Amino acid sequence: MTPPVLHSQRLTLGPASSAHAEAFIAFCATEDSRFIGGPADRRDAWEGVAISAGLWALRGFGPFWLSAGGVPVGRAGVYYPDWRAEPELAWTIYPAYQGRGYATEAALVARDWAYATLGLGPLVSLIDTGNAPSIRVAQKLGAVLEGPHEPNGGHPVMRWRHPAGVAA
Amino acid sequence: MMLETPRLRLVPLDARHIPAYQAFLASPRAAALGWAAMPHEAWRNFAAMMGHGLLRGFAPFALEAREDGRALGLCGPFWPEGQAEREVKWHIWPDADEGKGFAFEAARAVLGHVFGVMGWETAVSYIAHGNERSAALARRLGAVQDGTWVTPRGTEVRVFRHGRGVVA
Repeated sequence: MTPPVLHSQRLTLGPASSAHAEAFIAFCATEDSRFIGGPADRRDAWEGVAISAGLWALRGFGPFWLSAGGVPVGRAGVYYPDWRAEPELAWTIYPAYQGRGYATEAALVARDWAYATLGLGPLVSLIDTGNAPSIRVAQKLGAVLEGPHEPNGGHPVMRWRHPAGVAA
Repeated sequence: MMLETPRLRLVPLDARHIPAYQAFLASPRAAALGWAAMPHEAWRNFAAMMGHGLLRGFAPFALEAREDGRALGLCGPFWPEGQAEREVKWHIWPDADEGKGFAFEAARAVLGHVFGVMGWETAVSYIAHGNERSAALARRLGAVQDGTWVTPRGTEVRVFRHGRGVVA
């Protein structure tokens, strides 16, 4: 399946497009992508977009691509490839659009959709200890620190657990 | 979208084909071609190929035997970002199904499809040095070697160019 199109107050959550792919490729070329395994070259970044689309086909859910006023700003959704022990609620906002609450807004919609539509949850988020903006998002979403996870390329990573129910 | 040949059905890639693909990439035959991959890497490649279909509008087909439905391999149009040209690729997965002409049968149908239906002007197959079985198949399909291409990973492969008129 392909993703449904969801809306939050300011964002559209939907399927990948060539505009989203180009924005993600540009992001992956920079050091800012280190928390998702970057930097990565054009080929690998595009493959990342393809995998995100393939996850929807294989799992019936996956990352949504985020737009604000038609402009790609990042992605958020449930990431659950074959090699993961459990599905993860994950989010990435490109640096030019950070600090506006987009990650929290999108992750909340994606999380509630995953709980209500897929029956998933409580979901986990795996966050690099050096990724302060993402840790703040997890806290705003009501997630609690559960413990250490496997390191990501030498960076320590923590497991955050989201609340079970839909937040009021 | 589905193609049929006397012995094969060419169908969209699906989760049911993954175990045979994983077994192929774990086989000595794949190792000899430099393609050996762990099951989770194979799953990731497979997700990327499915996502390729959603992003590009086309993807390799899975080959199923008409007699019993078993997954025989893949064959079809492939053009990921970072690859110079549109390609027709093929793999036969189970050792026992090599040498039966399945790849030839599938590739003829696919070449007819990419030229006759998709409107491609040209198509190549990238074939590793040393993969003489695939090179022989390309020649049997009427392709001629047209130089080499160095992949973004720095591997030189042979370019076999298919002729429009040969199989249409």
